[in-house]
Amino acid sequence: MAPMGGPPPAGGRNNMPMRGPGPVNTQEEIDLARLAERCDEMMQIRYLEPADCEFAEKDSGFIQLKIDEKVYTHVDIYRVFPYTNPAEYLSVRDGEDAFREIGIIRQLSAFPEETISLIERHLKLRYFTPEIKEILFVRRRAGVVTMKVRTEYGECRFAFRNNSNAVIRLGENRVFIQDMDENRYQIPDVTKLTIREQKKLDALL
Amino acid sequence: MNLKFDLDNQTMETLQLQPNEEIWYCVPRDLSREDQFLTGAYVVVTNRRLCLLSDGHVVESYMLSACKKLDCETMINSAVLRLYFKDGSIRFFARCTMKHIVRFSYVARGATMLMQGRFYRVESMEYEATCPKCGAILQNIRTCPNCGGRGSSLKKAVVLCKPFAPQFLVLSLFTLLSSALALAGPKIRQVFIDSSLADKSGTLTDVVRFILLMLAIAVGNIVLNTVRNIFSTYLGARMAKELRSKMFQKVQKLALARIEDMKPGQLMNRITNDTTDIRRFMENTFASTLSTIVTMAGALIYMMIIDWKLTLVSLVFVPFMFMISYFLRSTFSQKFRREREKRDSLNSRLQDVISGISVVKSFGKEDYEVQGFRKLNRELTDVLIQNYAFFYSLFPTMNFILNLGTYLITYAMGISVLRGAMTVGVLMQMVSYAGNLYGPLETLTRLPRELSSLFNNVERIYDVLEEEEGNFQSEEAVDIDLQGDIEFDNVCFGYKSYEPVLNDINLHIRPGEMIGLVGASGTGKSTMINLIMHLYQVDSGVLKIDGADINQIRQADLRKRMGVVLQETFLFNGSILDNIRFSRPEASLEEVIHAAKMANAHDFIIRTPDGYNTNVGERGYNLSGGERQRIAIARAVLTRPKLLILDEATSNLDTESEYLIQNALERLEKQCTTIAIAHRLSTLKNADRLVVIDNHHIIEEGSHEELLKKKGVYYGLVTAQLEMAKVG
Repeated sequence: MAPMGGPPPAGGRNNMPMRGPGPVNTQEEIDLARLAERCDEMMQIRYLEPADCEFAEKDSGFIQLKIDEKVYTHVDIYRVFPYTNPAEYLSVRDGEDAFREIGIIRQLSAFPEETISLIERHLKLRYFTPEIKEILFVRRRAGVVTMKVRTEYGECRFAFRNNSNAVIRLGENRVFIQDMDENRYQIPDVTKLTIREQKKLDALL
Repeated sequence: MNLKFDLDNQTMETLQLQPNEEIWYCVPRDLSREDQFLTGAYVVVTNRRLCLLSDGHVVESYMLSACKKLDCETMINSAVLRLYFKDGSIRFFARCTMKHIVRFSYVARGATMLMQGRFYRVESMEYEATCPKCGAILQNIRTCPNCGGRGSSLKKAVVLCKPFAPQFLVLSLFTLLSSALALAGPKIRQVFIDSSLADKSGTLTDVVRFILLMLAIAVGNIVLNTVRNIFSTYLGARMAKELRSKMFQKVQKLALARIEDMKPGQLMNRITNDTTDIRRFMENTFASTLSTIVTMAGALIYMMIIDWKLTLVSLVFVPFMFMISYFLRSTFSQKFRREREKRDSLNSRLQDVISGISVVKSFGKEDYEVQGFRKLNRELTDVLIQNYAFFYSLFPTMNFILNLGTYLITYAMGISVLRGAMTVGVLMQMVSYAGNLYGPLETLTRLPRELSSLFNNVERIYDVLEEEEGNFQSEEAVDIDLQGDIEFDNVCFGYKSYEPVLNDINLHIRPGEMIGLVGASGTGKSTMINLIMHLYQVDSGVLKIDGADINQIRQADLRKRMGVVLQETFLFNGSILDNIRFSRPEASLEEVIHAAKMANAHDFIIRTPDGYNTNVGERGYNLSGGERQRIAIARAVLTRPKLLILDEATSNLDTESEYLIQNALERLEKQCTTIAIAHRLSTLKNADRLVVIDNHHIIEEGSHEELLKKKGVYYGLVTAQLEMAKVG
């Protein structure tokens, strides 16, 4: 569906007030009003309150959201700050309307238990960045690093070229490692690793 | 890339394939919905069913006839397959990590086609990232270096040196001679001491003869070493030159997608730094190390002949030294790494701030930046002081330990001399050889590091040299007399195949037509142009030029007949004349002027002090954006193209210039097909047809007037721009 397709039904998509110059008479003015409406929408931040929202999960794995009597059959939820604030500021978007933002959840913890677990499940499906809990083995040969690590999802082994941007530091202590297949692994705080592990990692940074 | 993994017999049995049923796709799924890594789990698509396998069992199975589509959704670091049924229901189907994301995307496309009754087999030309057998990295190479094909680094280094075999032979000869001379000195000294000095029987002639002999050896050594060094420098420079040329040639031939994969900085490093490192190795390390090894071996042999027991005893400190360097190896690298890290932080901060100095100043953040830089500077200084305090206390200690062997020899042999069991000359000879043996030992401990760095360089160079060119033109490709007829037939393409940029594009552009591509940023307009220029290969579907598959047309000939003005108007360092002529070096001066006039560039060129000979500086920075664009247009029209591609070609021009150029181009366009992209829609209002792209698809097509009447997306864009103009 195009973002700016065709003449809109009277009253606009979300029953938002029209912003046309004077009474809406001609087709041109209606479209201008829509543009103004889009601009309003773009500027607006709507924070979703637990009392107004009803989240439910469908078989497809999609989440349905009922808000102000309007039902969105497929919403996607994105973290605004995926690493620094993973359970705050979650952007809820309409999966069936060009990624349009419905609103932002400020604090997931403010929502009922059921919704929290539903949204957490959904986020887990979207964000898969295993955390390296333990570095078991690092081998460096001819510019290629092979690592065996233990993550929260089990042990895994991966390889990457050491001369590329495979190891990235985000902030002071957070480190991301991207392997050849573009899988990303994270170490939230390198200082929490043992000295031995830090030394193994040091050689790569 | 393999889209049909083999299943073992037992699993095949559980699939219970019906007669006439065959597996079309079989790819691993390595992640569960609950985030667990999976092994032995697959998605199987036959010509009748869609199945999920787990540990040799079918866990889910659906008839294709009941399904509408299989959709691959890219998540963050994973992908999900969702199955859409004809009854409107949707089901989570399978999940994978990035390792199989490309396969998932192809299988989703292939399975959907089967569901729609299109029995067309989707194939992936992409490379595997890792070797399916041994897991080794295979970025952009098809054959695994471990599992046959490319051979070891040492082998590659040997292959690299092969063309220079005669020179290496001469170099080795010089090295042998200079080592022989170095070893002859102590022997001559021993004879002189024992026969002339010890019993005081020598004459003045003996002394003069000895001095002359030693002088001759010293001069001989200087001459041999100088010749050897000059020769190895020459050899290193020759090797580096050959490699640089080979690599540059290779890069010119590589497909754009391959080059983009490599990152320009890395590629430049490989061509310049890696080859320079090889030259440096030849200059500084190769000849001197070879000579050191030969001298050491000779000294050891001589020492063993004189007194093998004492020699062996004196060697007792050598393993000790190697042990120290072995155990301190990680400390060394850690210290070097910390130094490098601090230096890099300082450099990148410096580069960041200096290139963004105007931003720093405009926000008044000079003090903040000074503080930040001071902190990094202090950190680097601290690390440097610590490191060098460590190195300067360690190395003399290690040297001392090594020399303990010499003290031991002097002590044991000194006693023998006092007892009359040995001559002073032999003692002196032994001590000299011990110096030859232990002196360079410490330098030799650095050899493994230098060799490993050399092998790394060789690996990286070979990585480029052995890169498959990835040019998609078929071997039977022919030249055509381009007419400008272009047809997209169900074309799908994505720079990463799992992220489609263009989906199911169908468009026929007739010769002489002017087409305007319209749409929001990032919708795939420039991508369509890249495909027409054959810089990339379509993922599926066919792109035809003059009725022939683009793969069947010789790329070089195709591009010769195209005139292209790209979004980023890149000009090379050189004169305006050189830059315009870049597209057709044989063009006459009159033709150049004509092209410049068409691009409304002639007048501003004349105003520059050196006219057409004005140097545009590196990347053309001396010119304004609009002037650069006009030169780029002149460069494009000079080819007398049959197909003119204008990607935001007039975006930096003022309205008057744009109008003039448009008028000029219109005259040219009558003879050639033109495809133009512009955000300023007035630029395209004269187009025969406008093609509106949105959400990876063509959503509207028609003339300016037709699309306005339709009141669709194009109408919306035009209205928005008119409103903007009103505000302006």
